[in-house]
Order: sequence, then structure tokens, then C-alpha cells
Amino acid sequence: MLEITDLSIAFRRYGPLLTRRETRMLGPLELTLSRGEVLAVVGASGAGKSLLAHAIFGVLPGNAVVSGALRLDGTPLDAARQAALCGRLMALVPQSITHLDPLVRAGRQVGWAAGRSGHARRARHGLARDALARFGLGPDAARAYPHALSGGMARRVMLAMASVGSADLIVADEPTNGLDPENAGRVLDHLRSLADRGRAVMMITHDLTGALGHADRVAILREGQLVEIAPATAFRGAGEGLASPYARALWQALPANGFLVPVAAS
Amino acid sequence: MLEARALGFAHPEGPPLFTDATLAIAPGEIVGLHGPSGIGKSTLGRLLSGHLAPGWGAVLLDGAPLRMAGFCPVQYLGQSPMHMVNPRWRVGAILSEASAPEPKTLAALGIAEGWSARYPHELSGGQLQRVAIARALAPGLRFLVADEISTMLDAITQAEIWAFLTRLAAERGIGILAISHDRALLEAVATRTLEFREIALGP
Repeated sequence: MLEITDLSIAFRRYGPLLTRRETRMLGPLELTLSRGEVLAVVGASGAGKSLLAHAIFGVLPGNAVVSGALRLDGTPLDAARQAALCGRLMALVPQSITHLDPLVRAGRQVGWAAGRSGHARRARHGLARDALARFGLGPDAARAYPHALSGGMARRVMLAMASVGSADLIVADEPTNGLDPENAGRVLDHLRSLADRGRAVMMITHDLTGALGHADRVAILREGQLVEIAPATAFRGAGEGLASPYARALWQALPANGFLVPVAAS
Repeated sequence: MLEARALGFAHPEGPPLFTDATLAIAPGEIVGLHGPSGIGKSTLGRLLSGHLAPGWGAVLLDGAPLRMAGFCPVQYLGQSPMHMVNPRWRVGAILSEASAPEPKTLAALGIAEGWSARYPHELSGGQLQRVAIARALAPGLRFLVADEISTMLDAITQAEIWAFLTRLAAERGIGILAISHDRALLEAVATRTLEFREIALGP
């Protein structure tokens, strides 16, 4: 479904005396994502996880220099196609809740998303209601303006927006931040079920434990580099199934797996 | 000894969150506090560290009421360090808000000298959380309330921060209340874990 080859992202900055510098933030990296699959992208903050998502949707800031190739269903994904498909064939669940329109009630925003993905005007209201209900949000939340929603509720509104249409590729950036374990589990289950119904899901998270229960494969990012892509089943025991020392360190640092601090870091 | 005696709290015109929270933490002890979200764990933590005034009951430090002026010997660390610092202050000013931090502490927390001139948004979440911890470690510190401090961090950063806090408890005799919904984390760091329902809502 999605093929990423040789992708790298740099930021152009001006230094002293109008010299121009490019700082590479991500890559080069290769990644593929198939229908029916949940790929978790895991890494510490600053590893470049969100940049990857924003590059797929073409929403990087203006000073970003992107090289490499993105292909969706075999066809190159250029800027025009990104703009045309965004919200239709592919949907992004952004990390920051400031991506909601502060002046529009939550239910109406989900209705917009349904309209964007091609649903008829008269169907939008019902679709929005059902999408919100799937994430445990009722009529009160639908009537609320974003400022009246808790962080976790706002995140679920954005998940409803991304899944209300028929997008085949869903990229969720930290979908469980700010959610209590029960609601986080519900969100992850829902992302899993979207993949099980034939969509491709990329889940960006720092929470390795949460990702492992729901993802097929886990891509580990560190300081802009793709360290390893391992099947979720490789994360067990002392991490013998993992190829890279960093992935093993991340696994062994979990409280349930020894809570070990890597020697180099301590 | 830090004690909560029959503590209760209600938001204005709201029903009481809890009315009878009782617990005691000894110096050097790491006590876990577990419970579902929205039940009042953070409110209890903020009462213990003087951020909120109790509606009922009392917070006692060595048998005397908590001092409300100057540096509070009970410091609160929150989930999102961005919300615990002034975004218009540079990191250097944040670090020395209570007293100048010891170089030894900064080194142990991996805080680089170059961060001093930066603003909070120029650090990552894990880096800023370490700054918030360093700020709390003034000489008068006796107890820490660590409220979901590593939820938003990756596993390695989480392990590093808790390795530091465990050492702090052992070496300086700082008592720590670790609030989390992550049982595995509490089992790894706490000497005993309390269920919020049992200590705050009565039988």
C-alpha cells in the first residue's frame, strides 16, 4: 500500500552572514506498509517520528527539504496527490489537539471529515454520531467546543474524524497520549480492527508496551535513524530475537523486563 | 514522616472527590499510589505538596502542619513538565528558582550546561522532566510527589529517571509518593503500593 524509499528530511536554516545550512533530521530510511497491517513506529521524543508522518501527508513546514520517494498503491505520492488524497484515501490523526477548529462544535468537525471523504450531506450527522460513539463519546461531547473537551476526549474526536470516512491509510501520531489505560486500550483495539478490515495503519508512539499488543511490526527510530523493524513477536524474553542493541535496551528498560538502564546512558 | 490525616477535597460547588484519605510516608521510602484516572490521585498529590488547601483533615510533616511560605519541603512533579515551568523563563533560571543546583545533581541527571540559555520548548519532554526534578532537589527537600512523571517518556528515559530517584531516596532519605496507573512500574520502584480506593474512600 505505502512504500517509502530512501526518504530523508532536512531543515534549511540561515546561519551567520546569510550562510545557509541544512540539518538532517530524519533518514535515509526505507519502510513499507501493507493493507491489513498495523505498523508501530516507536522512539524517544525527538527521534523524528512525527516528521515521518508529516512527510507522508506533505504537511512539513516550508523550510523542510524532503528527498526520496513515496509511493501509494504503486503510484508516486507527490505534493498534488497528497493534497488530493488527504482526508479521502489517507487520514492523519495529529498529535496536538490544537489541530481542531476552536470555533466549531466537535460533532460538526467530524461531519466535515465525513463530507471530505465523500459522504452525502444528509448522512454526515449520523455518521459523525456513530464515529464518536465508537470512541465512547456521546451527544454532550458532540455539542462541545474543543476547549471544553479534556485532552483525551479531543484525541478521540480526532480519531473519529480520521476513521469516519473510508481512508485506506491511517496514520495516528501518539493516539493514546493523555488517555487512561481503559480508553487507551479502546483506541488501540479500534486501530487494530481498522487494519483487520483491510486498512493500513501506522501508529506512532513512545509507548512500546501498548504498541506490542496491537501491532504486527515495530519500527524503532532513534535520532532520525531507523534502527530496526522487528515483528512484534520478537519482543520477548531478554530480547534475543532483536537485532539491534538499542531495540534490546528499549525492551529491557520496561519495568516488567528488568527496568535496566543501558550502560552507556547511565 | 509525611502524613495525610482524614484528608478531603471538593471543587467549588462540586461533590467531594474524597473525604477520608489517610496515608503516611517515611523518609527514604518509595510508596506507590495506584487507581483509575479521574478518581483524585493527582488532587491528593497536590494537597500533600501544598498546591491545594484541604477541605477537611490535615497534611502533617513530622507532626506539624505543612509550611505554606517559602520553599515547600514536599515538592510536586507532574506528568507534563511543560505545565510545571514558566515558558518565558530560560532553563538556567528555572533550575535555580529555589536554590542554585549542585553540579553533582546536574551531572547525575544528565543536564548539559548548554541547556541553561534555552527556553523550555527547546528541550524534549524527557529533558525538561529532568530539569523539573533538579529544580525540586533544593537543600530543604524532604518528600517528592511523583505524579505520572514518566508516562510520556520512552522506556529508557523512564528507567534512567527512576534509577536516579531510587538512589536519591536511599542516599538522601527523600520519601517519594509514586502515583501511576502502571502496575509494572510501581512494582519495580515502590516498596509498597497503596490502592487509592482503599486509603481514600473508606471501606
